[in-house]
Amino acid sequence: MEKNLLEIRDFSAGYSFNNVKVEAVRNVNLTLKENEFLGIAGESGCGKSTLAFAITRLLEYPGKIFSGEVIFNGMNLMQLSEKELRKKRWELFSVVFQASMDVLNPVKKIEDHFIDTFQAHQSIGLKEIVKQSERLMELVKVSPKYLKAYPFQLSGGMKQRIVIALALALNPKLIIMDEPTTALDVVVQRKIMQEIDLLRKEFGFSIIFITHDLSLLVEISDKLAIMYGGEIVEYAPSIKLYNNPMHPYTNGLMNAFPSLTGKTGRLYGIKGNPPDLSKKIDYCPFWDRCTDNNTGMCEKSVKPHLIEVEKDHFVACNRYKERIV
Amino acid sequence: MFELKGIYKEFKIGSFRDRRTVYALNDINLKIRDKEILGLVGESGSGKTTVARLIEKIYNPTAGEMKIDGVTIPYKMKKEELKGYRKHVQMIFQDPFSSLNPLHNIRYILSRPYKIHDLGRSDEIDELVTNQLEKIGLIPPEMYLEKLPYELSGGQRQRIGIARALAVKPKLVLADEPTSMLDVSIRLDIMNLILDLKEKENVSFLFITHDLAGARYVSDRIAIMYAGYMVEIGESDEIIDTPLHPYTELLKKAAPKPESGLVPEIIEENGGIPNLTEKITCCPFEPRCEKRMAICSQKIPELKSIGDGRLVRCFLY
Repeated sequence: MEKNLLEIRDFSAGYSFNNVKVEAVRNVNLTLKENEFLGIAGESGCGKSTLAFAITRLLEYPGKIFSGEVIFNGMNLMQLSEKELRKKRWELFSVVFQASMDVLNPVKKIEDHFIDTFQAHQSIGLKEIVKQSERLMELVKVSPKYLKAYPFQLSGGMKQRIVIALALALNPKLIIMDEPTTALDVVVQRKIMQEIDLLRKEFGFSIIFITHDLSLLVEISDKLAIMYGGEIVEYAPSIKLYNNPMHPYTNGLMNAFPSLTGKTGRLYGIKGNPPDLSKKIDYCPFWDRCTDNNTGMCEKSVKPHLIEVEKDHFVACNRYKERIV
Repeated sequence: MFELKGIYKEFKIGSFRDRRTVYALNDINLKIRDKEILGLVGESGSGKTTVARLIEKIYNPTAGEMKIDGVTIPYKMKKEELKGYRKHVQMIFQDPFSSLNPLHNIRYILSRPYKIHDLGRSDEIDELVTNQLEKIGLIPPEMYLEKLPYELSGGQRQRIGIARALAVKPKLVLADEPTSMLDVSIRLDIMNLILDLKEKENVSFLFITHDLAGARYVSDRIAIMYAGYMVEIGESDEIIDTPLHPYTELLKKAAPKPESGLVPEIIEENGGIPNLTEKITCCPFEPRCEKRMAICSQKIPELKSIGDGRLVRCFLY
């Protein structure tokens, strides 16, 4: 059994300003093993990006971590000083952001990005940096000759690959990817996913991959966590989750994507809107939108907790018993 | 009903000294039937939006002919003629956040088409607007009339955009990626609305998207574009079940399809997209094609009919 790389315990974070407290991440518990691919899915505003920013302590004002612990490789990230943390970032974990092709500095050549990264963390000579950068560029299948190019001379897919190469530069143990491929074309997206997966197997790092595209995640991730209203409502190995989604929200989310080769026929989206996260929710956050809510089988006032209903399959729904196969 | 025949579109770009031409569309032939949703699929830069803009007459083609109900649409139109034409051809935009004027309320936004096209006395317009809101599922309409766009969610705003386009009872609506900016749970609602409106309002849609599964869900027929060329057209299910053009095959491979086992297909494809500023003399997909033959680098294949309304631009057929 591989050991746990990341443990998130009772973690709450969000935003607070003008006496308004928005709890975008509520009491999240997650573990990530070494060399594991964890997908986090949910619609916009469910707190998935906030979670990614908060656990790496990148959340800026008015963002705030309210409570909880994040144990990374045996140390509590929440207790590190800003200085210590700065050193650990990139070496231990790196983050690839949404629309990350725009994070490259437009007035700097690609090689300068690599030089900056290496010099900030290691005492390393220029020659060695160039050697390393060339190796990294080859890894992500961009010709090293583009080290001399400026970002605007590259296509979106190439920029994305370079950002991934930068994220890999210091051999981190974990890469967090926040919708890295949404702005790309389907074919490019698939190829980049394919390469990320190969690199992961080669170098043995873990990935937390955040997206709203559940059908993409199901195919590539080992485990999946479904977030709704700031909470994890279902957490299971991808195959289990796909074959037997136990939370009505997971089910709705899966049906929200028309399938390419499967059966045709009318599908329906999830009615209603996500809950207002600035309020306290002491009931099932999905109750108002749930298709089961009026059958009299489920009390709104009873808040379901995330429990392990089968081996490795966690779900937060009062009616999980009916869905065990 | 609507027909594009041998359409070419070139854009002149660059400075005075460094003039270049972008060959955005080449030999586009397309028919949109009555009461049909035609899905137009392709990657960014393949010319999908240019097709829609030509049909809307935002600009004219460099060469070729457009026909509506068998009548040729002239390149030059007077302002009044253009207004009359646009009554038949309306657009829905990709971004519901920037396509509605933030300073006007919904009543004003939805009354504009009636006023511009003179479709009712001012005392009737309120009723027309209310009906229109009901039609697109914003009920009760009174609740929405006085709202400003920022008070509505993305899905509701896109519905307003659709209501505005349909107000003048057009024959054809050009929907340019109407769902790509919306949240996953709302996308289906908008696609369902388009399907319902096709039936109820007798209107055709050109549904532009890069999502093959979404195109299959809404469209009767699908047209695949690549680098300014139409490479394959056919009935939706046939295009997806038996893709003929290698590019369509690649698109199908790349799309997630968990229903066919959870092991994604491996894509082995290299080579770039052709440079659109150079005139292409070979098959545009040749550099990326796995099935390329000697002839592919010598000339451009024709869009051939292979029966049942299926057209393919590939030397294999």
